[in-house]
Amino acid sequence: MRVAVPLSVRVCATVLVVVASASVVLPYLSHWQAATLDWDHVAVSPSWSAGHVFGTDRLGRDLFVRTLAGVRVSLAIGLLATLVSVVIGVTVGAVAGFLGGRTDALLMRLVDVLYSLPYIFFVILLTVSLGRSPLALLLAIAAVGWLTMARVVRAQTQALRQREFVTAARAIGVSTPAILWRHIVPNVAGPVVVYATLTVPSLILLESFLSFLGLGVQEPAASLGNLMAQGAAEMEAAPWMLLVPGSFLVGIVLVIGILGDALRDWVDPRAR
Amino acid sequence: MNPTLRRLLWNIPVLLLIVTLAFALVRLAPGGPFDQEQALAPDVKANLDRAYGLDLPLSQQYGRYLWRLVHGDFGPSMRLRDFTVNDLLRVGLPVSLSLGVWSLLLALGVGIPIGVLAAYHRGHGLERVLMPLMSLGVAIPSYVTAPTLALVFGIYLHWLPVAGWEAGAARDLVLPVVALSLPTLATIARLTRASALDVLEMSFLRTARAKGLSPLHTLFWHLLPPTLVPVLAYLGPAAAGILTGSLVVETVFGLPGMGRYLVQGALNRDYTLVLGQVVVYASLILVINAIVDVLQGFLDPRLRLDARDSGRL
Repeated sequence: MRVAVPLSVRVCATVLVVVASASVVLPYLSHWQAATLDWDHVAVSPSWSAGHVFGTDRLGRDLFVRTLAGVRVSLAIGLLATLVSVVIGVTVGAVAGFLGGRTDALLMRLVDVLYSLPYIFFVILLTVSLGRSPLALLLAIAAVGWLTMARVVRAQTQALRQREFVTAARAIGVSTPAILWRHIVPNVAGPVVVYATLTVPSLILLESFLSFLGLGVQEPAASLGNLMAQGAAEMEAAPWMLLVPGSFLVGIVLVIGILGDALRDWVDPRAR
Repeated sequence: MNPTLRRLLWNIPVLLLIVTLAFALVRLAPGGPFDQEQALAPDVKANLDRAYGLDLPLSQQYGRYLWRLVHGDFGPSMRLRDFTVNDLLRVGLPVSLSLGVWSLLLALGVGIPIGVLAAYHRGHGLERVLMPLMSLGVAIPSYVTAPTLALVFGIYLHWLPVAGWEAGAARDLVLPVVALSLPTLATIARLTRASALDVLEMSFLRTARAKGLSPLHTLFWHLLPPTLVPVLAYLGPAAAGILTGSLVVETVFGLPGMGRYLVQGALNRDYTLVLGQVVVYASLILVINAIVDVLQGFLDPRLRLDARDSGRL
């Protein structure tokens, strides 16, 4: 059976693929590199004639190339952190939902407690104590991203646990990890994909928030967050330095958000 | 035991866990509060460590910190000499709290009506205008809105001050409050709409209409209470979100609140300052969550704490 993919899903996915591949390919085609200093054009506003379509920053670096580099970093960290949080969330959710009882109570209490925390403190403390490396940033972001996933997967697993094929697998002596991997995980894949899509924008926002505060991606590497931090400092003289990376961030977050909502409506028309 | 009381008491071990975790994390971080460009002379450093009790074993320091904490003493700031954390909180917290409370009120006061309006006008023009705007609001973080608002209304239009704080003058608060509340406002509007749409399909609403109750009576007595249950549940995360945003908004608008201390404190390894803030804000959010749990019982009797605990639903 072929299922028609909704138009909104196709449009958003296409936009994302285009932006992502542009952020990888276009910097190679540009005359400038992310770290090239163009001393003849320091802090110029966007112009074709100068060869800087988005203008340059205080050091004469081309903002078009730097913004694309930032998009690449933000997308990569957002996707990888989502992947890590999906792994943690699915594991915790499936184990809690399948085993039930004391394990379930303990794990879900933990999720409740973590939910009620001002998590930003822990992300900040984590980035500070793990050192400011990209890996530390990734882990710190993923550490808060898995909570909703765990709840969703647990609820799904509880429903699946009662189904005949699980009982049958148990009856013929399949081990618990094998049941989880072969029978539970594939059956929760739909909602997992939907919620993962909805997790990506929030983790991208978290990454750029940390980079904005100077805790995330460090100069000279560019991320949308640290580009905006520089832009906010220069906004009176050079507003494009804030507006260009800002619009890219908002655009990306918006498109992924719409994609997630559309996927959810498609998979589960009742949910809103 | 009274379930409400038990719900409140449950916060004590949670808070203890938070303090312990934060203490461990902040002490795990390499470096210390007295690191400078130029290394201190060893005997100076030893004296400093002794003065702040950093020469004791970690477990003893932890015990001492907890002991002071239960007496309401957050200790001296290690980086901002001559200030105790209590001093800093006394000055900064009122600023941050007024910013946060106004933002939350704005988000609720505008977000809920927008959500209800969009639900009433499902599929019509009004919803088609409002909800994309709300999607946009969710996507624009406060660190984009804050500088942009300052740029437009402060620098180009000269309507409002770009930054600053004159003893809580209202005009200083407008831009920060708007910037801080927008993402929360948009989320609350979306939540309210989704929840109101569910409630609108329920039979009791049809009955209310059928027996000719006035639209306003139906709205306030029959639609809003069940609609607000998930919105209320979001208050805890909303408060956490506003707190997160305030770190940026206070910096952008130069407000003398607590927000700027957190990042600086963490980077400077100002142990007591960071821990003090974690304790204050975590307690605040725990209290909000507890209040929300109790309030939900008023809106939906099925969610009363005693009903939940005894398993009767």
